[in-house]
Amino acid sequence: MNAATFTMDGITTPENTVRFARPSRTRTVETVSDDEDAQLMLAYARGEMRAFETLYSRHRGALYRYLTRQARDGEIANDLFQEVWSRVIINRTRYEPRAKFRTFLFTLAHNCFIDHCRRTKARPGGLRIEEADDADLLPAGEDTQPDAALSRDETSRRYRAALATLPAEQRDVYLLHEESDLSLEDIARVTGVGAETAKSRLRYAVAKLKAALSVTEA
Amino acid sequence: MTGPDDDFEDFVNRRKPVFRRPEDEMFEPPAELDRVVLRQAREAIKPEEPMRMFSAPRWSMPIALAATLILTFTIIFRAGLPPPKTQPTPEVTVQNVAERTDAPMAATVQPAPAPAESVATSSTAGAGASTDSAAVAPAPKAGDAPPWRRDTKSWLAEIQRLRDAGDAARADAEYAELKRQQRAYAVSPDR
Repeated sequence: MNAATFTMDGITTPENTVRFARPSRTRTVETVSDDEDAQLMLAYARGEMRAFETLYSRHRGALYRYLTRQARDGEIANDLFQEVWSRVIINRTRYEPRAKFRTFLFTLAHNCFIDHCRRTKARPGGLRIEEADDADLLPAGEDTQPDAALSRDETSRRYRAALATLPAEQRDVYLLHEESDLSLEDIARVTGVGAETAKSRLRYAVAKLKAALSVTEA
Repeated sequence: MTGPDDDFEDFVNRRKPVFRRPEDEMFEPPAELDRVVLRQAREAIKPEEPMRMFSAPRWSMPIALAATLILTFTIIFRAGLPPPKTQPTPEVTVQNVAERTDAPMAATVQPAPAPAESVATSSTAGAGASTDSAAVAPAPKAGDAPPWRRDTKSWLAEIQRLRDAGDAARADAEYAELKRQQRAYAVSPDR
């Protein structure tokens, strides 16, 4: 099965430190088999650091975006990102390639985020940071609408605001679909619901986002 | 004609985006976070170094080897030498015990001249009973004792010599004397 990943080039320096090139604007699809991910994970469990670097470079961006959009806080997202990879590292010897590595990874991420919400008693769907953006979801008045096309920043801001207004379950399913490129069945497995439920949540989420962004683009 | 359901199915199957996603949403984790994760991953698979009790200098190995060889050859050399001469431990027998006790026994055998004088005076008192002269005969002085009586071994050798020479009577007499002195020693309160 092919998986879509973002183009990133892992560069290994002689000092054995790895730097990653900044992401390109275009999203390309690489032919990366899940078997290959599983083999990389098994190789890392055997002690091959290069395998982990490859694995990390493939999934770091998607995972980070998923967590950032879920947490809506950069510091929390950083902590969760580190925690997810820590769990990957700790569980390397117990990893069995029965499921796709991405499913394994995003299940960890989903659980980490749920644990974080329980620890902080925060509602996953609660608005904390970008509540002010909610007003932007409403159609702008004739006098306030810019004449030119909306800038990228404005579009991005509205996108985030629309995402933040989604119910937690719908946002979770949408982000998993967008960032992890998992199938609906895998998303259902990660979130612990049936495939039809996941599909329904995704349908609602997409409809709301489409409506919010089409208003801004009008 | 495509309806909303078809659009959604296309979206689900990643054939067509339903809406245009902002391009700057493709952000990445900061480099510092990359370093933290990769360092953690590297340290997790780093083989544990064996605990060193002490850090020995480089020359310690040849020195230890040389000392071991010297010690080994010393032990082998000493093991090959004949054992030092030691006095054999005497066997504990009645005869050996008697030998060890000969000297004090000889010292304890003292002459008894006084009874002889008293007996002589009493006999002159008119009792006329001089028949026990043998019983009251003075015991031989230590200096008068024959030389073979100074120790039991010589004494027994002398008895054996007399017996071999056919002088059984003297041999028996010497043997009886030997036994008498040893019995006297055995019951001595000074022992």
